[in-house]
Amino acid sequence: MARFLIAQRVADKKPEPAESRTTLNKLRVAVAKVADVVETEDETREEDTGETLILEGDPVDIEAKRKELPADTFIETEKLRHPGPFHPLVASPPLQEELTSGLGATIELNASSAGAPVRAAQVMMISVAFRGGFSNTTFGVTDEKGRVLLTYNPNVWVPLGVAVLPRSRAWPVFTQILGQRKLDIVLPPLFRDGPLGWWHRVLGLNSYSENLGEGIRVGVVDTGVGPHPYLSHVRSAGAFLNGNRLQTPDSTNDVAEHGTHVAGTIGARPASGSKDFAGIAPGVELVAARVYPGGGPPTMESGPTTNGDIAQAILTLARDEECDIINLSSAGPMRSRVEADRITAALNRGTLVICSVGNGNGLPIMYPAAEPVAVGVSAVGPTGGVPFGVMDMFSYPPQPDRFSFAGFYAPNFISVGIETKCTGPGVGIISTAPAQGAAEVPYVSMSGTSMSAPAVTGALAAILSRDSTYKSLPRNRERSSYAWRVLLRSARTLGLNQQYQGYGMPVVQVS
Amino acid sequence: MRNKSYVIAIKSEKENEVQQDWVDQIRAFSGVEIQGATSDQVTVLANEDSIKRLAGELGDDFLIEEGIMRN
Repeated sequence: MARFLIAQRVADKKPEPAESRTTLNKLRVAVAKVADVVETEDETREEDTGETLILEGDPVDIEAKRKELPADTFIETEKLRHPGPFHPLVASPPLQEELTSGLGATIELNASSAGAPVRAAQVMMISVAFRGGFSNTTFGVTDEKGRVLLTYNPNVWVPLGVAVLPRSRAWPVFTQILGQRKLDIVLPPLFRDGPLGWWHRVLGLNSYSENLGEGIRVGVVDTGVGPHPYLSHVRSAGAFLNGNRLQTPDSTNDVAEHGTHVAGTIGARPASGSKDFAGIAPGVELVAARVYPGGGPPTMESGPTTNGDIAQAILTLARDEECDIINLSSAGPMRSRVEADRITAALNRGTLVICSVGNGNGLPIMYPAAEPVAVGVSAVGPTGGVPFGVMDMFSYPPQPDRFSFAGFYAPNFISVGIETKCTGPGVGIISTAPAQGAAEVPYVSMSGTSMSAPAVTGALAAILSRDSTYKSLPRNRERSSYAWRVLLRSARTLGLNQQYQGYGMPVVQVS
Repeated sequence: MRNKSYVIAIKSEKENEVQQDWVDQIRAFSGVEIQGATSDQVTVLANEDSIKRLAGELGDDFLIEEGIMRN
C-alpha cells in the first residue's frame, strides 16, 4: 500500500467551486474500488474547492485506474517535503563595526601566563557555519606581546571557541567565545616541581636517580628529537623518509614537538636543581629515528608517515643499533604486513616494540599496536590531576565505567580493545619541547596514548636496568620474551575494563 | 591506471636467501619507479598491473603492500 495524490489540472483553467466539487466526487467514485480516500479536515470544509484527493491503495491497482481517469487529472505518489527553516541571522547584514579588517570581523586575543605575555603560542579559533553546521579553524600565532588578531567572515561563521597552545611553560587552554570581540586569556603556568611528576609516582618511582635505566638502549621512532639541552645525549640513527635513510648531522632534529616530548618522558636529564621534570629512566641510552617529513599544516606539523618508513626504522634500530626497547607512538587504522614482519624480526633480535594504541576516541585499537607481536599501550589520566579549564581536562569520559577506584580514568580519546596489553599515564604529561635558542629550556604538556607509551617504555627500561638476568641474555627471542614477561608481571590492575587497561599499569620496584 | 606507492620488503626470515641484485632487478622492471631504497626494502611508484607482474617475478620471499599512512 502507498499514498497517492489525485489532482485535476488547474493551471490553464479556472473551474468554479461547484464544478470542482463535482469533479472531485467523480474521481472519488472512480477510484473507490481500488483505494481508500484519506479524509482530511480540508475536504469537509464548506469552502473547499476540492481539486485534490489523497488516496491509499495498491500501486498496481492505482496504475490500472489511471487510464480511466479524465485526461486533465494527475495521479502521482505522495512525496515528502521537509522544511528549510529560515534563520534570521543568515540574512542579517553585518554591523558596520564588525567590518574592521580581514574577512569582515576581528577578535583580538591576548595570552599571558604568570604575569608575562605568552609569545609564539599557536592559536586555533573554531567556528561553525550558519548554514550546514560544518566547522572551520582559523590559525594564528601570538606576537611578542602575546597578542593575535583572528579574522573571520561574520556572514558565514560564528566563532565558538579558541585553543591556545603555548610553546613552553604554560598549560594549553580552550575557552568559549561568547560574542566577545576581545579576549584576555590567562594560561596557568605548568607545574615545575620536578624532577618527579605524578606520572613518575604512579609508576612506583618516589625517589630520583639519574642512573635509573643505565645499560638499556631505547629507540624512539618519531618526529625526531630535540634540540633540547636535557636531551643532548640522544644519538641519531638517521631519518627514514619515503624509502630512503638520511644520515646528515641534523637529520633527526624534531620537525614538530611530538618526538622531543616522547624522548623526554623516557630519558630527559634535567640540570641539577632546576626543578624541571626528568625522564622516567634518565640513565637510558636513547637512539632517535625520524620517520616524519615535517611541513604539515598547523594541526599536524609533522606531516604523515608511512608503514614502509616505520618498518625500516624498526628494523634498523633492532638489528643495527641493537636497541632493547623501541617506542613507537604512531598508529593508523590499516594493518601492515611489513610492519608486523619487522616487529617480529625485532623480537627475534631481542628487541621489544612498545606501541601506542592510538587516539581513536573509542574506535578499535590501531596498527601496529593491535598486532599480537606488539605491546599495545593505552592511557589513563589522574582524576583532578590537571588545572581546571586546561585542554587536557577535556579528556574526561562520559561513561562511568571508565573511572577507577584508584583515582584514574580511561580518557575519551583512547582506542579500545582486547589487544591492549597495558596502560600508562597519558594525560597532562609535562615533558621537553624543541628549543629554538641556546638559552631556551622549553617544556609543554601533552595528552594521548603517544604519551603513555613512552611512560611504559621508561618504566620497563627502569626495571630491566636493575635486572642482571636480563642483561646477561643473548640478543634473540629469549631476551625480548623475558622483557615482555617482566613488563606484564609488573602490571597492577587499576580496576578498569581490560579493553581500557589491558593487564594494568607497570609499577617499578627497584631499590 | 593510477600509480600508487608500494613498499617491497624482503621477508625478515628470508634475508639471507634473496639474490644480492634484487633492487637492480626491480629498477629494471618496466612500469615501476623506485622512490627510495635500502638493503631491506624499497618504496616504488607503480600501477596495479605492474605491481602484480613484479610480484609474480619476485616470488614469495618478498612482502608487497600499498603505502599506508600513520599519524
